[in-house]
Amino acid sequence: MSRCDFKIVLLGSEHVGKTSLVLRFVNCRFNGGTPYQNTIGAAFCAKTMQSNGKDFNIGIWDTAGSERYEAMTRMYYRGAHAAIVCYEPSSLESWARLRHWLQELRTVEEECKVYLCGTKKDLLDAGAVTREVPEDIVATYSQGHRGHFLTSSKTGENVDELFQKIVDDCAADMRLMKNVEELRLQLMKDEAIYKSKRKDFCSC
Amino acid sequence: MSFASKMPSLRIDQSDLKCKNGCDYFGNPQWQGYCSKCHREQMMRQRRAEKASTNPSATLPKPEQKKPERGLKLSSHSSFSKFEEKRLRQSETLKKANLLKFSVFKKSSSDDHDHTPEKRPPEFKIPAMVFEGMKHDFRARFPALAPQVDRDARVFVHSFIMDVIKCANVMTVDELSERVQRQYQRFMKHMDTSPHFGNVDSDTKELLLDFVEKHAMTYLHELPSVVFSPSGTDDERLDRAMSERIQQLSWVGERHLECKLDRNSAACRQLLYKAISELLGMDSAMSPGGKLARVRRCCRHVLALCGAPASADDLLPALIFTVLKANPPRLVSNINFVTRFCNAQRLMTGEGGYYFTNLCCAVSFIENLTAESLNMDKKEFDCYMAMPASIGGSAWAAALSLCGCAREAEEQLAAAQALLREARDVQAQAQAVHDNAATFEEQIVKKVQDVLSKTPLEIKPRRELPQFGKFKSSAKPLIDLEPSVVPKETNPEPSDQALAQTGTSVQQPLIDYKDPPIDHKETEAEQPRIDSRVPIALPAPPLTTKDQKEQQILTVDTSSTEPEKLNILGFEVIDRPSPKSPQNLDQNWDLKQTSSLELLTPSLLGFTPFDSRSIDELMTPDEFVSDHLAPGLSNINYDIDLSDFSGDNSLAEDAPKAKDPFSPDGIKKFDPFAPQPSTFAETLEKFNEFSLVDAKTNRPYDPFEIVHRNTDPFSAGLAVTLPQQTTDPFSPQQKEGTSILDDNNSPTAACLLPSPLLPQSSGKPA
Repeated sequence: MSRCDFKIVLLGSEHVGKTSLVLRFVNCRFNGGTPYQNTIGAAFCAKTMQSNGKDFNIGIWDTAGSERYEAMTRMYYRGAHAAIVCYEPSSLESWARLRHWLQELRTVEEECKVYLCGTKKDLLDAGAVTREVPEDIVATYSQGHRGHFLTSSKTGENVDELFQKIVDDCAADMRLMKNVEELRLQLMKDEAIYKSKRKDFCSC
Repeated sequence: MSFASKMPSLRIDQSDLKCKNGCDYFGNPQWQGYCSKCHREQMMRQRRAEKASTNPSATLPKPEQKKPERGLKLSSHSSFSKFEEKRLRQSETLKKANLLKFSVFKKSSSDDHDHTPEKRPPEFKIPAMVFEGMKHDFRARFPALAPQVDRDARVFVHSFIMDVIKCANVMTVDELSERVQRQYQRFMKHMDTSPHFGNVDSDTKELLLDFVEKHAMTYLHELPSVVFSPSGTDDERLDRAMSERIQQLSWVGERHLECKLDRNSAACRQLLYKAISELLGMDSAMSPGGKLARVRRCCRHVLALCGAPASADDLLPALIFTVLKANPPRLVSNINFVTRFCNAQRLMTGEGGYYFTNLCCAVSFIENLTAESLNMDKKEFDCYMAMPASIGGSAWAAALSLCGCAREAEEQLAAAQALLREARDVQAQAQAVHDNAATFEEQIVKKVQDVLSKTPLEIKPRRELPQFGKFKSSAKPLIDLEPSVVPKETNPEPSDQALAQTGTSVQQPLIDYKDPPIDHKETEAEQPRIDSRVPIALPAPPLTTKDQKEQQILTVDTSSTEPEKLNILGFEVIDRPSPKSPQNLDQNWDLKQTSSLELLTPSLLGFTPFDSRSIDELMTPDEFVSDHLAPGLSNINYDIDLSDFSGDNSLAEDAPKAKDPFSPDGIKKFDPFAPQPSTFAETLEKFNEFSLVDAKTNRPYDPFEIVHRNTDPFSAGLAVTLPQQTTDPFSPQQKEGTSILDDNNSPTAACLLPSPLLPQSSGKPA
């Protein structure tokens, strides 16, 4: 399974719960019977998911959230199909970093679909922490992106939904892309034929 | 500036006005003493060198900045830095030489400098080894795929390599990289569209792409400055800079990077050692895929190092630490090579791509490492950086070198153990060989002794002397002695047995002389067999016999005739008829012949076929059998047959008359007797069996008469019950038939000579 159809990057500051999210997702599916490739760490996970009855391999790239590696994070989301930007609703700091990534993504990888993900929903629901990030701001930010999910890696709430939505979007996008690509190729071919014809003409 | 500084020195060196390069053109001070052509070359070379020297300072400001620091260090270990610089310069010149070689290559292919690439492809012949290796590898990896796929892959690799080589000189590295990527895409498209790949699933297609990439890039990797640290880039310089940088940072420990590594744990050390060795192995891998695989393995070890649910937060620091400790050779070149020429799709999405990205991150982190990135005080950081690299080595280096030593020791141990095993094997084998030799010797001795014990006994006494002795005693005496021996024994059976024994005994040893003696003995043996069978049948007839007188007479006859018979057997051909027929036949033949005649006469209808048979046999075999006849039997037969047939045909044929000395009496007697038995015919007809019995009892003459009688009645009625008797009698019948005519010839030597052939004739009917 060296091939991966989609590349999904996990972004977020330290201790936001990126790795837990991936582990939750992967382990859930793992119990469901589908094997996942990497048993050593959650840094990279490859997984087969279905969308529209078709199988897709997705590779989930975890990134180091530490601020000192921030400069390098750009390498990770190069060519990514989707990015999950995580924040902790109880931490305003994490939300500030999220805005930074959103800007980066918008400038560096325009094609990348961005999903906002508020983690640790169970804590929020239980009232263990207080919400610091106002919902209305989140709502306004999420409008410009593909979606916003509040997930709980502990209970597994919304985790599958999040990834399923990503895969569905990517699959739909890929179909579109394929068509575009074919169109482009066709155009190129036509152009090449036209050119060669002209050349022939010239040589005559 | 450097340009200016060089000028005067060049001028000083110019002693004559010729070009400095030694070509015959005149040099010019404006051209630094070179002729115009050489000057241009020189300028180009200089410019290139300048570019190379200025570029790194632009891309990598850190090493340049640290130059003064290095200057400080020079005092501490100047020899090393000198060596480094020397090496640097050397490698630079080497690279230039490579470039020159390349350009020279171009020149050789075409005189025009600028438009070389078009004419180069014919110069470049991809060695057949590449494709041989590819074919082999393909068969090993994709045994299930069609050969067409293999061919396609090879064709693609060929066009790929040629394309890259063609473009290498014209394009910048980035353009080349793009072109390579387009080649990969082209192959993907080809796989999607070509009918050859119709039944190949997508995973296999991926593997095929890897396969193509591997083989194409492996070959290109070996070419100097084409794809690996290409000529237009400063990869090599960056490699050195990176290597130095890492050396500088050797003091960075796990606590600076906040990764949880335990230097004291052996498992941890072991894993780190493995990761490092994989990372070092990256340089030795030829293809981007191979390098990527090394990186993947390395990162897996690192992940294992971090603990079970390792996230990127753990992986990256550990990887940075690993890279710092490994200081892999040509790291930047390798990374650039993979980034440029690895299949981008895989580099973007796959696991290998992820780890490779992490490695890139680690390298860039190391490049841009500052006090802040290590969360330490700037002064302290500067202090560390000012520290000579050898001091900064720290405990980890020691631990790792220890690990390496332990590893080496393990390998040595394994090697030693293997050697020990081999030595033991050799010893065991030697022992086995030794034992073998011992047993072999014993066996040989035993065999030789056996042979010695056997051969002296066998060869000399048995084969040579005794054989001939036997030969003589068995072959000749059989003929000579039999009559002498047999008469002593009145009973026919023992004599027969003796004969049989002698016959058999003689038959075996006699090989060369086979034919004649066997003939005699077979014929003789047949007779005794018949005789011996007859006596078995004898006891029955006496019970059935009604006329005792006849029996008595017959018995008397047998007793009287037996010795004669034996004599006949012994005497073979010539002797028999004279003693037998004339004297004894008179009395005995009466009854027998009467019986035979009676049998013949009354059953005319039944006998006519027999007669015809006999006649046919007589007629046809005459020619054959006259030659083939065995003397002894034929003679016996003759007499009897003559007597038998003479009654029917003798007068007409007048053949028997030729035998006048032997048979005429018998014949004459037959004639008169014939009518007499005819009177008894009626009674005798009832006693067919008796007649048989009688005939059997009267062996000397009868066996053949009996045979006649037997065959006739048996063929009619008892053929099924006594097949053997019927079969046996047939052979004598033939002899009888033949014998009649043979009687004429029997005395002649011709009869004796052809006898060897007799068994064939006798054998055939039997």
